[in-house]
Amino acid sequence: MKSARPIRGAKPATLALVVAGAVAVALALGLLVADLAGERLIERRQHLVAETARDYFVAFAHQDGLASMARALDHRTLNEGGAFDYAVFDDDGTRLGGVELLTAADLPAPGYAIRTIAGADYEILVQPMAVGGTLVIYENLADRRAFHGAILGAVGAALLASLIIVAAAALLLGRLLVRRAEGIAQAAETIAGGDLSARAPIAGVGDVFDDLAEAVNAMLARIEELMTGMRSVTDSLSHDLRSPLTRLRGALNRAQDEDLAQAERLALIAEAQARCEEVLATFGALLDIARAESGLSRDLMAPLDLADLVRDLGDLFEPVIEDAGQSLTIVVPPRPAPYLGHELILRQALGNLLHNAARYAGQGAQVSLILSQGDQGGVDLVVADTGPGVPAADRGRVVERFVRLDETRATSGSGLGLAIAAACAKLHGGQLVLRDNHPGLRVVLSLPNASSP
Amino acid sequence: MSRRILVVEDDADTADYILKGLREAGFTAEHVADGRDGLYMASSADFDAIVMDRMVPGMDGLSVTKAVRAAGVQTPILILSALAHLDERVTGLRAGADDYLTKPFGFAELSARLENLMRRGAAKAVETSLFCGDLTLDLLSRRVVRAGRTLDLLPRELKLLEYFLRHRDRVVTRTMLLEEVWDYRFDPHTSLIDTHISRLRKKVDEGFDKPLLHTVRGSGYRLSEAP
Repeated sequence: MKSARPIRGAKPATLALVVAGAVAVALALGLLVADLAGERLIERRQHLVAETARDYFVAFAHQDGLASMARALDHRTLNEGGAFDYAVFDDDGTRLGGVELLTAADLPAPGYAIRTIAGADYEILVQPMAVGGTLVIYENLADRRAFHGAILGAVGAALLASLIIVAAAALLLGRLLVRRAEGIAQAAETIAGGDLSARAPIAGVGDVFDDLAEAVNAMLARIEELMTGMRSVTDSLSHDLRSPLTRLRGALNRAQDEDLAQAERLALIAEAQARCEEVLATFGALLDIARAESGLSRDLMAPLDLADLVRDLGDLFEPVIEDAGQSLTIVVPPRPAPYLGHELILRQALGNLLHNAARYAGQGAQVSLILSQGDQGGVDLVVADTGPGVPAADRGRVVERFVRLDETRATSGSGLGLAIAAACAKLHGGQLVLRDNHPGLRVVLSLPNASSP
Repeated sequence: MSRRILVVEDDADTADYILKGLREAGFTAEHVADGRDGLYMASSADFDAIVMDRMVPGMDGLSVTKAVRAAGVQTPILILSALAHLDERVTGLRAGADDYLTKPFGFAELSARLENLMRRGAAKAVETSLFCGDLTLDLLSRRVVRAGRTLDLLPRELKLLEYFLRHRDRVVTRTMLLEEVWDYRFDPHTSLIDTHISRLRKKVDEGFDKPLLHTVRGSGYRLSEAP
């Protein structure tokens, strides 16, 4: 129990860290991309502005001459305070108009260049003109950088905010995960501690944890059922094996008496043999149930005629039922009832039901063996009697292994008969149901449609 | 010449028990404890029947049975096994065995079944009637006559009587009857078969001075003229 603690404590933080780390890396990459893309975008845009202005002024000089153009530049320089400044030089290097930033001698080669003039960075476009002279366009880069900085700042702030949100969400989610998982873990711990009744909590929100908890609880219920069953089986088994074995030992002890007459000795040996048979029959029945329940017998399913099988069984058991002072009625449709099933186990199951009727229904009871149409295209094998029946409260219980209703166990039998019939029903995908026959007991072995075993 | 039986069984106690019983019953019995030896013996020498333990070292009983059958040897094989489940029996028979007996077993049961197996292989003429002493069953008309008197039998009693007649003078166990007449393989400790027998006996023996249907203590029944 202790070992679970540190893992549980570490889990949410680790999760949040991992998520935050991943997000941080993604953000850094995003920022880098925004930076590069932003810079290139701005540069292209500014070049476009510079080149448009250049084309305009070159066309101007072409049409109205250098002097008019120089005046226009002066005018623009005076009136516009934007990022762009302009200057024009004649072929001798004299500045005809525009701003006075560089002398003709300091001009870079034609094309774009970056220069620092009086502490400010400029990108300079030098354009010699066909009409003579050189047009110079200065762009103060401070604007462009401020713009770039603003974009980066905004993007960075957005990314940082999302990083914080994601980290918080991861932390919260981790906590939530752990809290939900903890409930299930606690149930498991309680059960490991010996309390089989513990169950995982269900929040009722229908999420994956609820599904998990429900699945776990279903499993736990089944385990508890099996454990309880196992316990009562062990108890009953020890009784069912112990009593014949005790009598076996007793018979053998008495048979050892030297003064015993031969006939008496033989009777004791016969008694010992009968007890052995009893023990072996109990073992055999248990094995049959185990095999039928685990479904291993399924590969021996074969087409058979249920009508035939029922008639056969009736034939076999009629004398026993008549000897018990009862009468047997067999109700079978006149046509064959083909079915894909495990013939031997079906015979055994029906035999057990008929045996029970003979044993428990009492003198004068009417026993019926019926093959009839069941629900949804299935088939019902019914053994009904008009005996004392089984109280409704006990009907579920008697299907369990080793349950006999007379607790004194005065009557013989291993108490496995109905359990075998139930296992047989389960093997075929059906069920064994006990009902009131008004009066008496009606046991229905209902088998699903043959085509869907 | 006495009949020869091969016993393939690795458990010394069980083997002794079987061999002793077989020899007392007048058989010549050979014993091997290994599956491979069993296969060798079964396919090289001529036996009247083979008793094969399901789990023997070297090669398991089922594989030996399959191999023996694959070699074209038709000797009747009875498999002995501690695996009691129904399905085991079916797998045994599918492998080519003729009968299957679960451990623990009584020697009477084993010997009755061996007799049955060896008789099965003997000449099977087409019969139209079966008899025992003054009792006759006409297989075509399904009529039973004893000492000139027609007996009125139910179909299931006829079935049972026919089985007895086909195994005349031999011991038939309760489980054999359950298995072969009703295809029912359980509950040997119930009185199911005894009930059927007592009814059949009432019709076949009552009112006649000499009983034909005898109870054999500790093993089963026998239909025979001799007491």
